[in-house]
Amino acid sequence: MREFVVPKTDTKIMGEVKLEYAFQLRARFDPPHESHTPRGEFRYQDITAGDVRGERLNATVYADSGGQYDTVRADRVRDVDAHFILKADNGEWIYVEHVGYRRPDGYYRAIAYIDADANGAYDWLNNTTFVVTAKESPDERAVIFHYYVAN
Amino acid sequence: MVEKIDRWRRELAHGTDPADETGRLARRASPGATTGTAETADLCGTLDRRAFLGAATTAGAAAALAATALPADAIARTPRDANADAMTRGAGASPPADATRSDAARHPPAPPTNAPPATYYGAPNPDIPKIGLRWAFSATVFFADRIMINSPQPRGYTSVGGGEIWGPRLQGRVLPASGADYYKGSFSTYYMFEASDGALIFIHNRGTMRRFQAPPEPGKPLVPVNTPPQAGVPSWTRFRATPVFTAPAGPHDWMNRTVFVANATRQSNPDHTVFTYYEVL
Repeated sequence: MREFVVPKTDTKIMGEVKLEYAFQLRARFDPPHESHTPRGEFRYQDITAGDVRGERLNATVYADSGGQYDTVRADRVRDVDAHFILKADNGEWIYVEHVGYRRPDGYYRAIAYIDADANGAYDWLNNTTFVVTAKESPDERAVIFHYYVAN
Repeated sequence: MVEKIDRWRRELAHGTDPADETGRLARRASPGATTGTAETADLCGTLDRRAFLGAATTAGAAAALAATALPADAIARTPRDANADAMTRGAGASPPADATRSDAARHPPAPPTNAPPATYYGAPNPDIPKIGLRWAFSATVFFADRIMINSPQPRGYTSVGGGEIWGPRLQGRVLPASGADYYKGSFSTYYMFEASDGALIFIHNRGTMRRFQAPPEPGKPLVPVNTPPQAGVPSWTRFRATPVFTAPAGPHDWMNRTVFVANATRQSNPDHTVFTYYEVL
């Protein structure tokens, strides 16, 4: 392995991250389809409906455009992997991806990566990192996601 | 897009072209101190390129950094200061209503830390759950080689030379030459941390970068700047990274089940990036 000497630094830079509330998504999912895999319990949930409400984005979930493709690990933590499409109130299409963890202790946090039309009304979503907190209904079919911008 | 990123990278390096920078550092590092471009090119041709760039970056970096004063506003604020600032900015400091129960049997608490307290951010509607951020650790990452592959959507490569990790919840180093940023449109970096206890931790770090007219102020929307950077026109670059860690069972296991968000700050002389990682609570 190549040796690398880290230059001596007298100063440590501390960059900040501030969260700003953006919008919420109320989503409906089909019951999970579960299957045993070498990686754990794979858990697929189709997204069937939903709406986004916020000051800067109002949209509806494009039904059956995707869903959750989670894996429940040996330590019972769920690796969250979600992909779906929104249709904004002006007709523009928006892609949403979630990557995060849902833990048995109730912690459900994710990062959302969102793509929108660069020439459209929702270009502000592009290259923006969202931190998401979510709460599931007891049957895990209704989920409310709250999105904060990481500024 | 790739051109845009490269342009931003150059801009963030305070107008220094990374290629020129590498050459300059290489010249500084080589004992024979050749100064002409032609000689440097010859040297590149006769030595192993990776070894050459690695040595150049290392030796040149130390020399360059020693002679470089960082801008006053970028310098070292202690974590406590940063947190105190966050508190005074009015972010609520109380824990969220849905504070979670501990599942101690399966998830033993992380080792005690001297981490500063978390800052909680909320929404205008108090019923909406708050999200807390708590400084976990920082990493200084030095980059070395740069390659661009002209695939249908161009793929960039910027290798990770090494670095150090410090902070309340993790200390160690970036394993030298353990990976790279393989960016395509946005950053996607894969490399290894070596914790001070010897544990190897894999990081996949995705990043987004966007320029605005000015930093955020309460009640004012950010105004994006989609035109190329211009000399004399101030702007603010928001560079955020979101890592996913794979850590061995043991004291670092908490990293396998925690969402992180980072502030990434590009520094020049030598070219490196400081990542400040926050646990999402």
